[in-house]
Amino acid sequence: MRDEVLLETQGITKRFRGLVAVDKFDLAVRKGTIHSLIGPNGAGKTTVFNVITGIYRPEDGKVVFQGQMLNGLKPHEILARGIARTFQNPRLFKNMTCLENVMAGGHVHGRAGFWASILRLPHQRREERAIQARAEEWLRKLGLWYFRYELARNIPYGCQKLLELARALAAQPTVLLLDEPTCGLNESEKETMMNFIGSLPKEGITVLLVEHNMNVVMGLSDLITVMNYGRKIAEGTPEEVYNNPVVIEAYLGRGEEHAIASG
Amino acid sequence: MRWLGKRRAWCSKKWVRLAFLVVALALLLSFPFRASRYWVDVGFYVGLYALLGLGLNVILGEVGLFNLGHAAFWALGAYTTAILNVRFGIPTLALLPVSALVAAGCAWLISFPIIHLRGDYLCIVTIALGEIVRLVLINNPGGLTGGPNGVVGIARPVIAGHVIRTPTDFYFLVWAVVAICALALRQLQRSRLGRAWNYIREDEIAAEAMGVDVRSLKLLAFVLGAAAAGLAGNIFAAKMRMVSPDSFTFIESCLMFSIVLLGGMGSIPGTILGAALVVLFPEIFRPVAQYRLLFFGLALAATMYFRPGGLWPRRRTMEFLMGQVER
Repeated sequence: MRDEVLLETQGITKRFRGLVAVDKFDLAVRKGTIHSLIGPNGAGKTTVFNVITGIYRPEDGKVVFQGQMLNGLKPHEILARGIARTFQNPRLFKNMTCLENVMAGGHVHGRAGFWASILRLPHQRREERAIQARAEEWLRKLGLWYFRYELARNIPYGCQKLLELARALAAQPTVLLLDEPTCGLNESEKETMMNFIGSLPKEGITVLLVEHNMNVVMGLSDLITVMNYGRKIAEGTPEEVYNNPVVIEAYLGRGEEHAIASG
Repeated sequence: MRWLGKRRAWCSKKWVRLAFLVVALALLLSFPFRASRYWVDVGFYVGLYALLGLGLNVILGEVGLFNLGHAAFWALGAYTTAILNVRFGIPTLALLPVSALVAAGCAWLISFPIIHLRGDYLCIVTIALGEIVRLVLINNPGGLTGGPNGVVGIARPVIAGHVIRTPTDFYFLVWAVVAICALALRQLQRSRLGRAWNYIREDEIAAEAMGVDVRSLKLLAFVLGAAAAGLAGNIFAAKMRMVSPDSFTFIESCLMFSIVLLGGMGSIPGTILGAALVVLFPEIFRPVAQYRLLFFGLALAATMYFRPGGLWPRRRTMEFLMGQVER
């Protein structure tokens, strides 16, 4: 069960004019795992996310989720299939309450249309209550209950990151893509975030994680894929990747003699 | 959070809100019996612009789409009523829903190819659309619109044998329609559709990533906003008994735009307040008529500077505290 590939990219390529941001990239995320995608700045990690979630169209390659092609689907259709995401810098609905932000996750599961909403038909009221109840549950779980009626822009940065996570989780995803969830957080917030992400596979949520903080990556990941210049340069368990000379080179540069020669 | 508790004390009480509503309603209902014909007419125009403002508020306020051509939909509603009534003798009041439907249908057709445009790009295209509609009306296609002279001789609306004729009659007609539209919009604001509109306004990419079908919802907003403008067009045509292209100029679109900005984007009471201000402003500044546009500009600039959210913005935190949302 654990070995079943849930989300897969097959040779995806994304170019921005001359720049090849992602180059024939393969990735296989297995069910029930935390899979990390790491690499130096500009390696194309976020671009991979944007291709998977349909924000960018790849020039080449396929994205396959649960055996179905996702290419050509719009972001909202991809979310409806069970892939939710967060953004590197929280993209919250800033002038709305935290509760309303998390209720966005329930939108896709709602069915009430125009007339049902205007006439407030019984099934629409039921649905609204359910959306709100689920959102409140996630706010409680992430410790944001206190801020529920506060506008999203007024809460601390760390809480904004958690709020974005709550919003994504409220959509009841099968796979969650997290783009640098601990970036900009202090140590205790990082701890909270890490513990929470670590608990997700138990809830049946598979995680694809982009992260720069090595403690977080090494502590959480089942499998790590390393990218540089849009390509996969290494893949393996945390230990394997940690000791891989190619990875060390990508992060720290070549050995001493080169540094001296060029500098 | 202490301040929240404090405000809750006086404002969240149900009876305060109820009392406010009752007083507002009493004032609205008794106004025509105490004021002169002239001021009743002014009251009618406040209602008319409130209706136009509510329509534009769906597009501009709720979804954040810059539409500077809303007068086009108003014109479509008015001309639909005028042509169908004068040519085919269909009763003016029966054309009220027809005008809304025609305006909404045209809005769907017009906005379908441009709905993906963002910000200023959409704004420029809507300005052009407003002008195109006006110029088409002037050019009298198929002899239908009567060119620059417009269409004259629209019959008065009749409700159950009562001919709507006096300023007071029209005052009640327009405010009844405003009330219905405001209620409908209020229900939408409290639904998943209304929230989705606001998600789009706040962050389109995040909204789409959260499963909001951005394109369809933007189209829905355009269609509904145009429908409200179509209703306003019908009432306007019935009141004037004639329509001409001069009534639907770019400046009208600008006025509607400022109504929504002035009152507060996405706020129903704000929009009605904005309409009142925009209509009353020229009346109040009649003694200095030459300078009133100058003052209007100053007032707009001052509002945007001191209250960027509008004069009566929607207070979401309060709405939740007051339990307006189902629990």
